[in-house]
Amino acid sequence: MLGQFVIPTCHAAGLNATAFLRNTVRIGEQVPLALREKGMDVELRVYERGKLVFRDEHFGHVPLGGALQLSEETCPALGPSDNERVIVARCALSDGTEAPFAQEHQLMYHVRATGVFDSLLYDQFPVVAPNPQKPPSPIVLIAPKIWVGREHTAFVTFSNTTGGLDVRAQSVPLEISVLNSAGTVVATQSVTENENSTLVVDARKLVEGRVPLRADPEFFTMIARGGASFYAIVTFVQNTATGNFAIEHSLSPHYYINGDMGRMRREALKFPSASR
Amino acid sequence: MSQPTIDYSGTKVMKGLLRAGLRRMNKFVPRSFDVSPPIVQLFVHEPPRLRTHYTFVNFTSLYSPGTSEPVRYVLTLRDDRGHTVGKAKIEVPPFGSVDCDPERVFGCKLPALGSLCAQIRSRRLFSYSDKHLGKVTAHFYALYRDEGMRALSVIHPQTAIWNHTPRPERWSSNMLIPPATLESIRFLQVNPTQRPVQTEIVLRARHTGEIVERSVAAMAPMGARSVTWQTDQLSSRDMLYLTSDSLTAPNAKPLVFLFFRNGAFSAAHS
Repeated sequence: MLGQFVIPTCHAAGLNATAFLRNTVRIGEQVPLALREKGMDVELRVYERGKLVFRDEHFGHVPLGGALQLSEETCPALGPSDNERVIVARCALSDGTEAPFAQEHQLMYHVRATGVFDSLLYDQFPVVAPNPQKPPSPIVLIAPKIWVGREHTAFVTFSNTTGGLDVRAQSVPLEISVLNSAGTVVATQSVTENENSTLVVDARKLVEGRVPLRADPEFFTMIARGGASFYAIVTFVQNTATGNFAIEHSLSPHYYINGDMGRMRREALKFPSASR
Repeated sequence: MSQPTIDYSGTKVMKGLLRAGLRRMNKFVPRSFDVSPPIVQLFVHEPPRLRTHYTFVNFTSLYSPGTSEPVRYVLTLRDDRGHTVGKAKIEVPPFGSVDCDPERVFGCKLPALGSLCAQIRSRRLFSYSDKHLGKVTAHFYALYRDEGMRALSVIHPQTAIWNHTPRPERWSSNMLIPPATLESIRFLQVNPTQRPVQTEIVLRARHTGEIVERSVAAMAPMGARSVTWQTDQLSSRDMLYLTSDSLTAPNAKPLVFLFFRNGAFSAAHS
């Protein structure tokens, strides 16, 4: 059984990334306990803008109930770097198959200057072999958790992986927009990112000059559409004066709706040009 | 090879027919009634150290821009005993959002602890324009902040209101908490069911599983509770984690607030 866990760096916010990979029984899971008891093997890959900068096929082994720490101490590739990086942990239970299995791991980020930390429990997602005939579906992100002010911003990290080893641009750009409370688009940015990379979008930089930056931060929603890879999207809302921050993952559309996902994806991708 | 057996029992056939009938009937159900159960999030009001905001977004218009229309969120604020202390409706324009400050929205004396429950409705009673989205769920985020938002936490929704009493769940959190820099650990828990619930939350040391703190309580329907553990006796421990043999409902995991010695806090779903 095989799965992967994607971890973004967020050096832009002055944060150090740590992750604890867990081999724990999930409520209602179908994995035989005997398989868990054999332990979980971890391969680690670290990419910078699509380039593989670190790989260890036998990075670690997690016994049942255990935790494997990924951090700058255990893997120097997580330390400060010129560009943001994506860390991809491939987790395997040894039954000889590549079937996905349920897991939950812990992301933890520390403010370098103060040591204050916040955590997030997050599911992993399956490893999908690259298929040129069937590229990954474009993402549709709604992130109603952006506060921007003189001392506040949100760093939205778009980490993606295809599992490939070649440096290659995604075939579809990612279009990122910031909407104010009235629903007006304040700023839009189109980005073509490489496969296997982390893009960190600083919301304040995106809207600066378009809205006044006040002491009391203003609330926005970020939306993003497009891309052609498997994404994990995590938002860091930060007080840039104290360094204190919040971390939270996004909710994919199936949390909000259970209807015609294909039609939703086609129509949502046309917003705002088709409707405004 | 043996033939597969088909279960023709009356109950199964009736259930199947009923489900098929409901699926066909569903297209006649207006948007406002084709919704999942309301979502509930914890509420804390201890100014200046802790305040709560909630964010609501008109997601139906973003997923279906061609049929966009305003939506309403119907809000119910309850105290820690589950008693309703305020009701309000907020309207969210197409593609828009609301940063909801309960102090302004409810205009009543706010409880120190409780919960906010939200349901989404179409502004028009008989609206069918975005029915292709299927059943919609009123997910919303909570922002916990201190004065000036010098420290903050953003929490995604985790539990819906349960109309029946689910079986207590045995649970062990995957979140490891290093206590060395902390002043205290505080957990907040909501009972999202319509029945009283007996619940227990335990704090354990990671390497030994030893119980270092324990809290047992009876929680009222839709009630909330908060328990703080000082960490001065725990700072030499490596890592801590929470367990429970009796969560109030599946996935109704406690929120954990970590208060640091430098005055900051952070919070997360455990």
